Formats: sequence, C-alpha cells, structure tokens
Amino acid sequence: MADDKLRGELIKKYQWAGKIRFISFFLLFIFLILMKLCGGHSYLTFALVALIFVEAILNQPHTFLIKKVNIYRFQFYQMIVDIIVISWVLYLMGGLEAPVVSIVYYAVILWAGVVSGDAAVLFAVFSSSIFFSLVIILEHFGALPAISYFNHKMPAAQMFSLLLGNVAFMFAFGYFSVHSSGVIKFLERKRQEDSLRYMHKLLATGYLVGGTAHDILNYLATIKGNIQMLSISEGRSGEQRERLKSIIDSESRCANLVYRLARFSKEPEKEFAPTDINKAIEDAFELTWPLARYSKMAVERVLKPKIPLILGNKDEIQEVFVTLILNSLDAISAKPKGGTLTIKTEYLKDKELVGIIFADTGTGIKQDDLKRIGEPFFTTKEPEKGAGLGLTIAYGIIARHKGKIDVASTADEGATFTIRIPAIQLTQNSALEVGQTG
Amino acid sequence: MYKILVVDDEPQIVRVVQGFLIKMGFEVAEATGGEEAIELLRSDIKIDLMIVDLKMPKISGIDVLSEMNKLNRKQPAIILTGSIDTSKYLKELKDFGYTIKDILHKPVDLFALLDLVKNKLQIV
Repeated sequence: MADDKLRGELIKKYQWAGKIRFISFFLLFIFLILMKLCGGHSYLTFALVALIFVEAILNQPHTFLIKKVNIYRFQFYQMIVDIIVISWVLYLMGGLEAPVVSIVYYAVILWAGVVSGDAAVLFAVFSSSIFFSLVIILEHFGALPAISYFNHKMPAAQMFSLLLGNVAFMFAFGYFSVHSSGVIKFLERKRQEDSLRYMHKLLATGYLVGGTAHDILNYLATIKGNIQMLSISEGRSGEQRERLKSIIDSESRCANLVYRLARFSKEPEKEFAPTDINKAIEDAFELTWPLARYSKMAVERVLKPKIPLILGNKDEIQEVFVTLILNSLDAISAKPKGGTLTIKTEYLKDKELVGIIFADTGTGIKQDDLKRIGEPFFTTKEPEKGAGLGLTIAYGIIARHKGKIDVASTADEGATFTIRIPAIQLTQNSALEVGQTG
Repeated sequence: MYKILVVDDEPQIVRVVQGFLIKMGFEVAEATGGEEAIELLRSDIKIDLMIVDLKMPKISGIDVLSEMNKLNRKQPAIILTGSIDTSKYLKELKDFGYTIKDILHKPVDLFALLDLVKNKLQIV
C-alpha cells in the first residue's frame, strides 16, 4: 500500500507538471508562429512542431497512460524530450547568441528537484549540459548548419568560455535545486510531524480524562454516600451537620467539574464490533505514513490473510498501533543507520488468539526501563516528544479488549511488542452479542 | 419487606447503598460484579428491585439486564452509573423497556435514589 500511496502522490504531481508543460509548449508554439509572422527567421521545422505536439499531448498524464507506464522511469523520458526540444529551439535561435533561451533548462532542473528527487536533478543537469554543449560545439565546427542573425562567427575561445560558464551555472543551479527541495521537503515533514504528534497527544489526553472520570465519579459516589449516611445518623450536633453539608457541597462542585471536563474529552468505552486487525494496521500505517516516508525506518508487513476478527473498537486498536509505530520510529531514528519495523499478524489456533507483533531493530529498551513500560508519565523521550502516556493508554485499551501486551527487548538491538487479543468464535453468534464490556 | 439487589463492581458503593437501604427499612442482597448478579438472578431468591451499575468488567450492566430478561424475572430495575454519556446505552436499555428516567448518575444523592426506589416499588 505504501507504494500505491507514493504512486498516487507522484501521479498527482505529474498531472500538475503535465498542465504546466502543456501551457509552456503552447506558449512556445505561439511564439514560434509569431516570429514567423513578423518576418523573422522561420523557426518552424516540421520535426520540431511535431515533437512539441507529441510532447504537449503525451505529457498530459492521462489515467490510461499512467496505468501502463513505469511512472518513475516516465519522468526521465519526459525530461529528456523537454531538453531536446529546448536545445533544438536554442539552436534555431542562434545558440549562444540567444542565451536567454537557456533559462528554460533551469526551469527543468528546478522542477526536477521539486517534483522528484536528487537523481532526477542530476539527470536534468547532465542531459542539459550534454545537449547544450553538443548543439553549440557541432554548430561551431560546422557539423550543424550555422544559424546566426548577426553574421558573426565567434572565436573558439569565446565560444568555449561561454559554453563552460553556462554548463558551470547548470551544475550550480542543480545543487541549489537539490538543496532547496530538501529544505522544502524537510519543512513539509516537520509540519506533518507536528500536527500528527499534536493530534496524538490530544487523543491521549482525551482518553486519560475520559478514563479517569468514571473512576473519580465512583469515588465521589462513595464519599457522598458515606457523608449522607453520617448526616442522617442520630445524635449529630448542628455544627457537625453543617460541616458534613459543606463536604457534600464541595463534592458536588467537584463532580460537576469532572462532568464538564469529561464531556470535552472522548470517553474510552466505545462501541465494540467485529474488527479486522489487518485493516486497523493498514489504517494506522497510513496515518503514520507522512512521518515514516522520510525516515530511516523501513516497514515490513507480514499480515496473515483472512485472519479471524476480534471484538473491539477499531479506532482504539488503531490508536495502539499508531503508538507502537511512532515509538519504533523514534527508536529507529535514533540509530545512525536506521532500521526495520516488522509488523506481523498471526492466529494461534489452539488458544483462539489473534497475535500482532511489532518488532523493530531500533535502540531497544534498557533492562531497568522494561519494568516501567506502561507506567503513566514514564518516558525516555525528550519532553516535547512525548508525555509518557502513549503506552499507558495502549495497555488500557488492550486490557479492555481482554488482551495482553508483552515486551521483549535487548538494548541497542531492538524491541518486540507482542499483542494477543481473543478472536471471535465465528461458530457462536452469541459472541457478537456480548459487546458491552469494561 | 421488599428485597433489593445492589450490583456494582465497586464494593464501597455497594456498602454505602446497602447500608442506606437497610436503614430505610429494606432488605438488601449484594453483588460485586456482573457474574455474582447473574448467579443470584438464576437462583430462586426473591428480588423486588435491582439497582445495577452499567460499566463493570467482564459482564456489564446491560448483560445483567439482558440475562434478567431471559430468565423472565419481571422486577423493576434502576440503573446507577458513573458513565458521563449514557446516550449510547439508551437504545439497548430501551429494548429492555427502560428509559432515561430509570438512570441515576453517580455520585448519587441517596435520597433521590430512595425516591426512585419507592416510586418503582409503588410505596406511597
């Protein structure tokens, strides 16, 4: 699915690029006609016009076309045709006499950086340099018919110095393109990371408030009940009654606050329904994809097809998976070489349990810390990265699903989280009915 | 004398409600959890009214009410819950013939509980 997503993004960018190209080529065509109408040199050769048309049309990445081609290779074909067209026009306009045309090369180089990556930029720089040099040199030494509007032949030294200057600038511009697109991508990732972390934190706080509210209300009920019992016992003095009433007043205010607070947050107990674990993993993966895609973490999914369903809440289960993926991402990112997160699902037939395994080759968890995993507010991360609630909530959610989380880890080698949740017995429909728990 | 079954997974609450109801002249059976409640319901014990919590581990209040329905026990019930949002339970409760008027929220005023108990048992 990751590839699909990448492909989707790439296709979107291509469709943009296609539109921009179409407009550019259309303008170029109009320009060439205008030049001819003005009585200038006829730049219009049949082959060039044909190429422009083919290019303008082929670059409209129609869905039918995109489905058939290797989209990654396709960008290189596009670029090379662009560069040939540019070089051709440049040649017709007098080569070094019309340096303004070479600006168009820079547009290709910059675009390669923004749309694709370093490899595309390098490709654009090299092919631009080669075609540009070829046109200039071949024309200079007579292999191509010379086109000049000033009837002036440049000395070879001048030609080479201009040529080298232009080529050097292409390389410099390529560097600029790679660098600036890197910055753009970094900022984009940072923005997505911030928003995902914020959302995660908000969700965590919500769970925490919702989860504790029920307990607090239970304790308050005990307090209130006992106080009321005390106030109705015989032999209470007026003063004692007053004090007990004051306690009850405070208790009522406290309960009101809890109600107001909890209404703002999500309640943890939600609808339970037959849930597909594999689907929840895919969704969690998709949610974390903006972060994972630029990281040093490779994700491998070994999902058992047609795995039995579990009785649970998909949003909650997904929240657990997001937590585990983000933790692995942090652990792997802390390693210079990066690492792999393997997500595996399995079905333990004899125990009727569905197993989900998150194994990463990150920094692992220290032996002392292992015991404290899941403890509220326990974290080894920097304060801005986490409050130490992610796994606490994950443990709570899995417990509500009558499941269990086990952790195994070797420091510096990685960590493995194993989750086991009872599978639904498809033979007994009654299992579906006992949905409300916790 | 009327006998009331109090079901809550929090023993402290069971104790308070039980103590209060006894003081008010009722007989009380207690269950700290859904399983105990179902066991009592299955026995031939006489129960005139049940006060039941909704959110309990393993077997919830809804499960208890559903079991009561299956056992064809006709006594009324009062739902006493610490859940903030009971709207999601309402549909199921409706199926068993309960309305929002049968729900009391924790922390409950014991006298409000008493009023509802009397109302349900039709004691004037």
